[in-house]
Amino acid sequence: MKDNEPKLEKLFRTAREAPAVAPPENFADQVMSLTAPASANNVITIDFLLPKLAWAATFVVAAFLSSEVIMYTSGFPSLTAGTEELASAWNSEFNTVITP
Amino acid sequence: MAQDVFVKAWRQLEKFDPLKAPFENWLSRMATNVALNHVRAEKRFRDQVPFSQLGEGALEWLQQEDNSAPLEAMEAREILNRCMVDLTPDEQVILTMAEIEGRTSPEIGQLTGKAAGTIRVTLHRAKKKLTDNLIRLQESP
Repeated sequence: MKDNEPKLEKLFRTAREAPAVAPPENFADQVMSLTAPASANNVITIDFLLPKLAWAATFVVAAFLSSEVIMYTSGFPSLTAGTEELASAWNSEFNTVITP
Repeated sequence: MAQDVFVKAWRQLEKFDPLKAPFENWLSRMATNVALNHVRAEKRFRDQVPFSQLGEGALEWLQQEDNSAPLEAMEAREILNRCMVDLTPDEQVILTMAEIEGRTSPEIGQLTGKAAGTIRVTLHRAKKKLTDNLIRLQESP
């Protein structure tokens, strides 16, 4: 072992200088395509979007309700009353019957 | 192999506990296991690389008595790969970590899960085999 030790050391020393293998440019895409199957992707998308949609719907309903309350307390005709008024105006103008 | 490591890491990310070990150690340990499995699988199919298949530079350097002849890094790796063929997967991984990557025994222990004594013995045995194989390679026609 002793005789060949310098040669072995030289081998190790030189091998350490070999450049590291660089990954291909699309390496990250390759990995991600293997980690996320299509069905799982859809579930993740739905999971991500559902709470946002729910919050948006809640906001719209709350906005309508609060506008109804504000208009009612301020003496303005409410949305329902406004719709009825518009329907009767339309009826008298065009002589048709529209039920709101 | 690198791709396998990252895919495995992604799938097992929930198991990562930062309180147990830093992310780098967790990922390196996973890479070590993937590398060991790869060496084990490859070993069953790999034939010995004949002496004649070594590159010209590697052959010249092997036949020189001293170390003065130039040797390219890739040629050194070629010779080492040839000499490591009959080493066990553990010997190959530990030798590579210690001598080529320059890792310390505690680091290797952390990555392979082996005790310091086992690493020392394995490394010594691996170097002995490597030296014998190098001599055989030099003496082969």
